[in-house]
Amino acid sequence: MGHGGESRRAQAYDGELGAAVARAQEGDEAAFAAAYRLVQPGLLAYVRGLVGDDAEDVTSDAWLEIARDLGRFKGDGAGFRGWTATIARHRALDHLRRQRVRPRPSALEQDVLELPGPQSTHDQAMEAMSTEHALALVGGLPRDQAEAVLLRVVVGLDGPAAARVLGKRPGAVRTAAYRGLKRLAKQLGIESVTDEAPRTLGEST
Amino acid sequence: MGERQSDGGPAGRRRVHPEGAPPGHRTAGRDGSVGGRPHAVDAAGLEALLAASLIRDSVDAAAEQRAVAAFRAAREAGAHRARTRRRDDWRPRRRRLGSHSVKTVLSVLLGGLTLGGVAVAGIGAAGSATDGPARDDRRAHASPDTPGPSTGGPLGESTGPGSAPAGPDRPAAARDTEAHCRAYEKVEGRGKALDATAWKRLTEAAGGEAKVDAYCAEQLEQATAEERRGGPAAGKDAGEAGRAGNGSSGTARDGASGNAGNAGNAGNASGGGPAGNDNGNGGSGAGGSGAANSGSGSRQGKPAQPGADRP
Repeated sequence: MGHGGESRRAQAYDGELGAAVARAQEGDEAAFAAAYRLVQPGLLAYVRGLVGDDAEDVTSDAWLEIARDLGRFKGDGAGFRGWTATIARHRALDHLRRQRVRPRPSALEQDVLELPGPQSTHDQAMEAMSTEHALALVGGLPRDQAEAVLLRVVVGLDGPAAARVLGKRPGAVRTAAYRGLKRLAKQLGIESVTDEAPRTLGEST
Repeated sequence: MGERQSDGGPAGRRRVHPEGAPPGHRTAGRDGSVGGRPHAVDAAGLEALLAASLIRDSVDAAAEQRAVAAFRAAREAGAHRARTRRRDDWRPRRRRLGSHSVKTVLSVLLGGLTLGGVAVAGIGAAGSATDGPARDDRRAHASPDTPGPSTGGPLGESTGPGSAPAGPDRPAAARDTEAHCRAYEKVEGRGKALDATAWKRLTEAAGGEAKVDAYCAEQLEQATAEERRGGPAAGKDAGEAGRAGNGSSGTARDGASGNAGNAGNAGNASGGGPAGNDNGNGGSGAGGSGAANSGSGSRQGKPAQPGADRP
């Protein structure tokens, strides 16, 4: 239970990804495309959490760098996720620096308001949650928590790898991910261990 | 239910639509919430839900093509042979650290041993260097002061090894001269080394600067003969001579240090059996002119030694 379903999924793909990366490093074009298809969805979701609507462009730039530097990379499938996430993150931060925009997407507030009301059952809220809603929720977290959650949940990195991407201590990143997830659970009306009554979204934010 | 979602979410990697969810799943969810179990969705379920919501499965084909084209271009440009930087190494950290630390420990150990050895060797070298002049002084004073055979007739008496008291002293003086001769070959014509006391003595012994060559050739030849004959006593004396040679170069400061090493070698090498080694050194040092001059001066009539001297 310590790891989310997403990281388990990522681990299941890591063998395949590692093999594809190894072949791509020997010059196999099709293998590189396969690695791209395995990594890109999570990577794009992570970058979207950082830069919002420009995520496609930023991720595309990141892939140019990944394609260029692929020969330098050393590691397995999980390592490749971390490596690509690091490159994409640098691109995203460069992008934000250029734009002088805060990393949080500006369209968030609207989405938060549209979240299901208190009368909805939590599973309805969850099942009906769109990408925008989820993004809005994660974007509403403090920056370090949002990134830790995204790296873990979306990119599928374990604690040490996420810490390396963020350039922080593993303990700090683990704590940030835990707090972020707890907060999200609260916002979604999911009380994990506490006894208090489920709060509404309005109250919890 | 959490397991349910975490299994279902990853499989599709898509948002779970109400219509798409299995009926049992929804019922369970409802029951969970209605039955007052709001924490039925655990952390794993939440993460799966977030992942399913945030990740869009569709990959933009055009973007993929751009990436593949960049890959192809880099491959053709040879960029994929670039060196791995630290930030590109994502191999599991524990293994890397382990091998690294083992390697580090080994190299540190080896380096320490090497440096320690050099340091010890340096101590020895420094000691002998400081020892040199002292011994040299003693010998330099001793050999002229010693009455009789040692300074008087190193040449004449050399065939009489029988006398016990003369034995240790005389050959030592001969070695001394021999070492001087070897050094002389090297220093000749260079700087003021020949003005030094040791050289003056050598020149005097030879009876003039012009005769030094012949004198030396004789000396070397004789030294070889003694070595052949020599027992343990001769070996010991040879060692003494070697040290003396070392010291004498200390006196002749200018440019003579190289010679000192050579002379010392001669003395050391002759300590035991390897007389041949000593011969070789003598040949190289005093060789050419000395050997030629000594042709007439081989007064001992031992044909073997000149032969051994000439390669």
